Amino acid sequence: METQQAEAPRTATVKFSGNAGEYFKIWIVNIALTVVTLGIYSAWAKVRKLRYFYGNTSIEDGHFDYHAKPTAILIGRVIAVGMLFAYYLLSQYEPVAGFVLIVVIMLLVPVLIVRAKVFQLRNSSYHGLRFNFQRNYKDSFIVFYGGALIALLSLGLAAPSAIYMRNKFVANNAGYGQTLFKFEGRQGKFYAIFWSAVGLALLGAVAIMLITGALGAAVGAFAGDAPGGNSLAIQVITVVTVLPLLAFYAAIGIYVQTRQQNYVWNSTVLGGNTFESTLSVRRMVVLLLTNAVAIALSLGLLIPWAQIRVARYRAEHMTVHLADNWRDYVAAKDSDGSALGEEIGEAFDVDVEFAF
Amino acid sequence: MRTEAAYYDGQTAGAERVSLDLVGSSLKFELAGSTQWVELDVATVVEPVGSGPWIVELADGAYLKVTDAEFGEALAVASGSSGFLRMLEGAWHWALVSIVVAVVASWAALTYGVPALATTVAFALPEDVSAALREEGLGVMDDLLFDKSELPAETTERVIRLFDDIKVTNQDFYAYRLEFRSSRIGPNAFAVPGGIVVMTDELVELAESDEEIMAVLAHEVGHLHGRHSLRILLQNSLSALLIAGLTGDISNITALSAAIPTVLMQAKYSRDFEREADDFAFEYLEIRGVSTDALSDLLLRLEQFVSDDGDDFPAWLSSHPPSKERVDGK
Repeated sequence: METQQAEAPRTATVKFSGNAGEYFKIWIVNIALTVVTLGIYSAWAKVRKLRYFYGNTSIEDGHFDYHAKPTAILIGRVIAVGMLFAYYLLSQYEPVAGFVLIVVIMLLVPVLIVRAKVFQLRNSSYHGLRFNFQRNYKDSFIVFYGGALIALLSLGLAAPSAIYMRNKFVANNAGYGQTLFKFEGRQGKFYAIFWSAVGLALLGAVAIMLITGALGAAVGAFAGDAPGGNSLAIQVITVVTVLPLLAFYAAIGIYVQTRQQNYVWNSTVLGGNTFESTLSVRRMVVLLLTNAVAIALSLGLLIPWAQIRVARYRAEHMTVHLADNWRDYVAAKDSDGSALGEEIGEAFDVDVEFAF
Repeated sequence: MRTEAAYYDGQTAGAERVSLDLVGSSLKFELAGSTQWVELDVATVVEPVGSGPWIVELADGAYLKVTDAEFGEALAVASGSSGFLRMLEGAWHWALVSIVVAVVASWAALTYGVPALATTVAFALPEDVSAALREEGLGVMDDLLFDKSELPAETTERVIRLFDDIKVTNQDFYAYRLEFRSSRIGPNAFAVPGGIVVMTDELVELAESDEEIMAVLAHEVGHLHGRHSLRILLQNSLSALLIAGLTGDISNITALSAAIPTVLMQAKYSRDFEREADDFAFEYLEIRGVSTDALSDLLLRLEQFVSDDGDDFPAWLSSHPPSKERVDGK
């Protein structure tokens, strides 16, 4: 293909055009059909959901698309659920065999992650061109085992090195067509994020202990003489402190996630294009915590609304500085992979999601 | 019929604007100066999700994107697609129907489907859990909860005779074994998967008659006979899987909301198994010509013992049915 003249550098914001009402109808039909078909439709539901979110995301005049075949996901799910129940039953009858199975799955985590990424990215496209992920099993083993070892030997102190290695591995092996992304970030930043989160957590723990103590004294003085007053005091303190405590630690998790995500995107390039992720920790905390409350109070009916809000906020805070002509990006020659890795990963709760 | 469409070759990024004609069951468009004809039966027409575009997947990884809704309808007719999902997903009254279907079907699946499936699977499997696991289970309880029994020999012999009376009623029970332990958690009795019943000294002492002990032993044998430990394992895993499948695509922060229904469901299953074991005990007591009050009396006394030093636990969160109901329900 002839190379066209490079376009002038330009800046584009990611746009998200989905809306909660439209998605609610898709979501609830997904659930109803999934229950009625005893779970089989869940594979189609996943594709319809992702097609909705991808299809409503665009940069300039190009849209994202999701292309996975539901049958591929269904096969992956059937095998994964089969393995899960094999594990449950083995642990009842033959505990040793059950243990061996779980160890084998854990040993294969680097493979599962690569395969999950291949399936996810090969089935995603922007502007009609598929993303890609290199089947780099050797580095995957080195990064995941090496990282885990470093974190373990340092008693967690060097955990940010492991996080850095993983993010770098995933970004550097991901591609748009044949062109690979390149991660140019530094390890030190992950340490800075990690240790400021630890500091926040400690400060919060001290503050909550002080508040609990003061409350305990106050409620005790007020209700202490009444019959059953002590148990009342304990209940009041529990309710007053446990919920904020949960929210506080959730907020610290969001803090780490958000700052890492910003940093990973801001340090990644694709050819001559760079990214600018400007998610605000404060806004993300408010967004996700109000989502949790809304979902609980609506008995789940506000899940679609919550998901749409997050997708919109994330999109609106991602800017792309474009220097290349999309026409110069060409497809990689590779198969689309199977959904097995992703589905086994989900069934056994292996985290295959990364900031990138 | 004609519309503007985007053509993606699958090899490079970016679209080619083409003018697309639907002629009978064929599509026609101009590409790089030559006319392309595509038979719809060799292409795949992918219906839109929401207000998204129609997609026609061509044979070689290339595809066409059509945003013109009217043209899309014509494509649907020409390619023979049912439009079933678009109909369901496109109207609020179908959304309401879906809510009702989802609630009723989930309720039925969790209340009837999961227990029925777990029962079928549990009884299709060999009864014995491995001997090693059984002894290990008892070992863990010994470490955490129990000390050596301090009951006098004549008492344990009397209770073992009561246990043997139950064993002779069914040859499946011959391998069952009774163990005595002194308890750090007060009066209690357990069924350990694989055929061991554990009775605490405190419960033997709390019982005021042999009939009451008989009732408790029968209740625990009921757990073993009904394969409750295996069924509860299966039911809990199945229901967790089902609930996760329904609420699963929500983020970590909100995953707690999926944990709540799971916990409530598992507590309900546990109560159901207690009722089943009660029923087994009542049947046995009737065979022996003993009043079913024996179990109720002991349960009530046990409850009094517990509520002396603890708060009442809400019924819907509890692993056992309220004693009042177990007494009335016999």
